[in-house]
Amino acid sequence: MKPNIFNRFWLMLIILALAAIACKGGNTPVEPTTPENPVNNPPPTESGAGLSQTERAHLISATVQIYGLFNENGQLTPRYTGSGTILSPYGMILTNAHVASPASQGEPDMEPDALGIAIVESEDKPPVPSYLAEVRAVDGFLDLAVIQITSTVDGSNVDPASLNFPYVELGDSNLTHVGDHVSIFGFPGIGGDTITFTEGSVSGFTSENPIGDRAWIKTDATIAGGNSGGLGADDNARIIGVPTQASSGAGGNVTDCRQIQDTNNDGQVDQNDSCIPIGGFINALRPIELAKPLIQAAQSGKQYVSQYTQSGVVTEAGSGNEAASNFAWLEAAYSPEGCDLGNVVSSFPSNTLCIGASFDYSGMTPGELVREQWYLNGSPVSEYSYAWEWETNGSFGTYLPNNGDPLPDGEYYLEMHAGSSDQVIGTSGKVTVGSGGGGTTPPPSSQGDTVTVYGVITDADTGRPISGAYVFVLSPGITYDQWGRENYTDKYIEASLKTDSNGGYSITGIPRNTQFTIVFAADGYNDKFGDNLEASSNDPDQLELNVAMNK
Amino acid sequence: MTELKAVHERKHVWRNEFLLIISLIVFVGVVYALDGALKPVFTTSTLLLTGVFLALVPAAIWLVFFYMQDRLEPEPKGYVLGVFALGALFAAAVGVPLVENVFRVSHWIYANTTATILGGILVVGFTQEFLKYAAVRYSIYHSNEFDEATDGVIYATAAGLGYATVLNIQFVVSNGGVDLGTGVIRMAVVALAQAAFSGITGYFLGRAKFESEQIWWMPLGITLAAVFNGTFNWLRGLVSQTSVSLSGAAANPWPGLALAAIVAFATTGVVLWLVRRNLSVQAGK
Amino acid sequence: MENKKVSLGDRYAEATVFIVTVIALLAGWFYKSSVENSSIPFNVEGISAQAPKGWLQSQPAGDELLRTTDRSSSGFNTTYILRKVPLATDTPAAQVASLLTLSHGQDLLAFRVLDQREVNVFDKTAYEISYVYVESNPDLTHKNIPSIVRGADYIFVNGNYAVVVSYWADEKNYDLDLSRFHLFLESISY
Repeated sequence: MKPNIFNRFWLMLIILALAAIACKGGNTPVEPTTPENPVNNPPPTESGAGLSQTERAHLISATVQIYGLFNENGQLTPRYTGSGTILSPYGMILTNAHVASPASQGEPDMEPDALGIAIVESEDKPPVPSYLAEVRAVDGFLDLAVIQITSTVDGSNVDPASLNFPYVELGDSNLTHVGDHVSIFGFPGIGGDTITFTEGSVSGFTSENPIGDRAWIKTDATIAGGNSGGLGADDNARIIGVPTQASSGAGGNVTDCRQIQDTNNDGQVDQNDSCIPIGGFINALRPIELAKPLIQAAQSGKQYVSQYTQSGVVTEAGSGNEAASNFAWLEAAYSPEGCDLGNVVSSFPSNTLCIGASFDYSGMTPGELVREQWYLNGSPVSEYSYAWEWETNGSFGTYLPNNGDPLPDGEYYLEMHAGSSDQVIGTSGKVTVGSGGGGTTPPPSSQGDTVTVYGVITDADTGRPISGAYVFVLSPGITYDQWGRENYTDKYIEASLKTDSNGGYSITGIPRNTQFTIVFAADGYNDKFGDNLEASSNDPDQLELNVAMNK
Repeated sequence: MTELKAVHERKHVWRNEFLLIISLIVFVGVVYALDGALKPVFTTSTLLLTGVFLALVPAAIWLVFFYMQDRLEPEPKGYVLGVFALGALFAAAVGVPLVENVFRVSHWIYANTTATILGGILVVGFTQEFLKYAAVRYSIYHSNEFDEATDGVIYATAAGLGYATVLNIQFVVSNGGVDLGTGVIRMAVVALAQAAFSGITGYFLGRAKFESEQIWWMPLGITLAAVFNGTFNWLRGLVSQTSVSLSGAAANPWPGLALAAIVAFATTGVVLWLVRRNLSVQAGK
Repeated sequence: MENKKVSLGDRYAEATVFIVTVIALLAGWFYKSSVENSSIPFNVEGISAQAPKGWLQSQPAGDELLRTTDRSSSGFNTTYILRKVPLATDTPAAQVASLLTLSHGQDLLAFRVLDQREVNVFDKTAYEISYVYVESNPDLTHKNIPSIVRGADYIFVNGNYAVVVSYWADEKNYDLDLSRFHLFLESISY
C-alpha cells in the first residue's frame, strides 16, 4: 500500500535470519580447492575454481527468488518459492515451468495468481521482494519457462525499457563436457534464506525421449530443493543450465521423501500415502539449449508452442492445407480422466463442468503439431497442444474441462491450429454456457461482480490505528449473534485477516447483492459488527469502511 | 463560630465543582476545534508530550479555581496538593498495575455485558474508589484541617483528580500518544467521572468524621461509588457504540462526554443537596 | 495532627471498608476466572475436551480435530490445536516428536526447538516439545512486524494413534495464558 512497506518487515526477517546464522555458527560452504600440482597449477587466489569473485558477485545479483503468490482473503500470499535467472537488462527471467506456471505441468490447482520476484541486494541478506512478473513462454514438458517483470510489487507498472538489471549471458550447453566445472546459484530455503552457492562438475548427460541425448546435464554439485529454476553457470559466467527436478521416469534422482503423514486420510500411515519431501537434492540441469526457443519467443513477443507433448512426438511439419469444418457442440460428462462426449446441443446450462465439440478434418499428417485454442467472451482461456496421431481425413471430438469446477458462464468458441506455422485451420461457432439468451452475451457490466471492502480500524478514544485486529466476513445470512451461539465456528467464516501495523485491512471478492456480516475484534475492545450488509449494483468496486472500536 | 457560617463560606466549593464541569467542556471544545482547524503535525515525542500536558489540564483547572476562590477560610494549599499527589501515587503504584496486570481486565471484561458490569464494579470500581478513599482517610482525615463535612468532598475530589490524571497520562503513554481531538474528550470524561464518584465518597467521609455513623456507613459509601463507577463505564461504552454500515463506523465520542457531564452535574447536585440538608438539620437542633 | 481521637465506630469502619473491598476484589477474581475458564464440550473421533468458550473454532479437517483461537489476543492470537495422528503400532513418542519437528520445520518460519523431554501431564505420560517460530503476515503488500510465537506440543501415544496437543502463544502472552491451556490439557481424554 505504501512504498516503504517492506523495509520494516524485511528488516525484522533479516535480523532474525542473521541471529539464526549467528547462533548456528559460521560454516563456510566453499572450500578452497587444493591443486594437485602446485608447480604447474598455481593455486587460485580465490575459491570457486574458474569464477572470479567479481563474476560470482555478478551472477549472484542476477539470480532472483520467485514466489508463487496466491490470493487468499484478498491478500497475495506466497505458497512456494523457487529461483530464477535474469537474462536481460529489461527483466526477462528464466526459471522452471513448475515454478512459473504449475498448470503447464498438470497442476492447475497450484497455479499462482501472481509471481513475485525478489532481488538480491546483498549476498548476506535475504532477497527483497520487489516486482511482479508474468509468464511469457512456458514449456511444461521441458519444465522451463520465461517470465517478464511487469510491475512493482505494489502493483504500479514498470516500463521494461527503463530497467537495467544485471543479467547472465547465455552459454552453449552443447559445448559442455563431462568433467567441466559448474557453479550453481539459487535459494534453497523459504522465507529469509539468503542466496546459496554450490559447485561441482558435470558428471554426465541423460537422454530422455523425445528430447534426445542431452536432455539433462548431471552434476555432482549439491542442489537443494528450492534451487529449482536457478542458475547453473560455466566458468565463463554464462548460464548453461537450469537446476531442475528430473522426473523419476526420466531416470533422474528423486528428492528424498518419506511417508510421514496420513495424506489419504485412511487412518494409517503407510505406503499408500503420498511421499513428503523432507529435504534431499536435485542433481540435474536442463541444458540452456532447450530453453533458447522459449527465450526467442519471449523476446520477439511470439506465442511459444512446445514441440514436446505428453501425448506424442512432433515429427512432421504438416501439409500446409489442413482444414477443420462442420463444428458442433456436444454434451460432455466430466470425469477427472477426461470428459465423455454425448449428444449435440445448442447451448449449455450454468454450472457445466465440461463442454464438448466435434468437427470434420482433412489434410492432417500424423506426427504434426495440433493446437486447440479456446476462447471465452473473445479472450483466450485455454490452449492445448499435441502431436496428431490420427487419420488424414475424418471427424474428431474434443472437450474443455475446468478441473472439475463449473465453467464460467459466457460465450465460448474453439479455434484449431495445426502445422509448424501454427496456422488456424478452422473456427467453431459460438456457444453459450449459462444464461446468455440464444447466443447473445449479456451487455458487459462496467462494475465487477464483487467489491473490495477496505479501511482502517482505530481506537474510538485515541483515534489511533489498531494493528493486529481481526476482521471476519461471515457467510450470507449468518448474524454475529448466530455465529456466537455456534461458538464462533470457522465454517461460517468466508474471509478473515488481521490489520497491518497501520490498522489497515482490505478484503476482496465480496459478491454484490449478497448479504454478508462483517465482524471486527481486537484485544481490549468490544466486538464491532455489521449484520447483513449488502453491496448493491450501484456501489463502487472499492468500499471504504473505517471502523472505530470502543472500550 | 457556627456551622452556619461555614456553610455560607463554603458555597464556593460547589461553585468550583460546577465551574470544573463547565470549564472542562469548554476546554474540550477548544482543543477539539483547534485540532480540527489547525490539524497540527506532531512527531511521536511531541505528540506524547502534548498528550501528557493535556492530561494535566483538568486537575490544574480545578486547583486554579480552588486557589482563586478559597480565600475566606483557605484550606492549607499543601494539604490539598498532598492529597492530590497521594491519589495520583496510589493510582500509579497500586491501582493501574492491579487492574491492568494482575486482573488483566481488558482481556476479559469485554466478553459480554455481565462481565463488563460485574468486572467494572467489583474490580475497577472497588480498586479505584478504595484507593481514593484511602488517599484521604490515611492522610488528612484525622487532621484539624479536616474540620467540617464539606472538607470530605474537597479532599476526595483532589484525590479523584489525582487518580484521573494518572489514568489519563497512562492512556496517553500506553497508546504512544493520542489524537488530540478525540483524546481530550476521553480525558475530560475520566476526570469528570472520577471527580463525581469521589464526591460520593467525600460526602460519606465527611459525615463519618463528624457524626457517629453506623459501622456500615463507610463501606456503603465505597460500594455506592464503586457501583456508580462500574455502571458508568458500561453506559459510556453503550452510548459510544456506533453501528457498522457499508459507509463506515466512525467514532462518536460526544455521547460519552454528555453522559459524563450529566453524571457529574447530577452527582454534585445530589451531594450538595445532601450536605446542605444535613447541615441545616444540625443547625436546627 | 492533634485531632487524632478515633471513635470506636470509626475504627471499625476503617476495618469494614477494607474487608468489603477485599471481598469485592476476591469476588472479582473468581468472576474473572469463571469468564476466562468457561468452556464448551468438544467430542470428535473419541477424543473429548473442554474447549475455551468464545474462541474461534475450526471444523475437524484431516488429522486436525480442533484448532481454537482466542480472537482477542494482542500480537499473535493464542491458539490450541488438537490432533489425532495415526501411527504404526509401537511407535515411540520420541519418534512422533521427531516427525512433528520435521513438519514444523517445513511449515513454520525460523522454527527452533528449545527443549524436548518426557513429562508427566495430569497423571498421563507425555512427550513435550517446546519451540519458537516467527509468524509474519503472509501478505507481501502489508507492513507488519512479525510476532515471535512460543509453542509447546504434548504427545500422548495410545496404541495406533497419538494425540498431539499444541499450544501457541505470542511470546509475551505465553506465560500469562499458560494456566488456561493447562485446564484445556487436563480436560482432554481419549
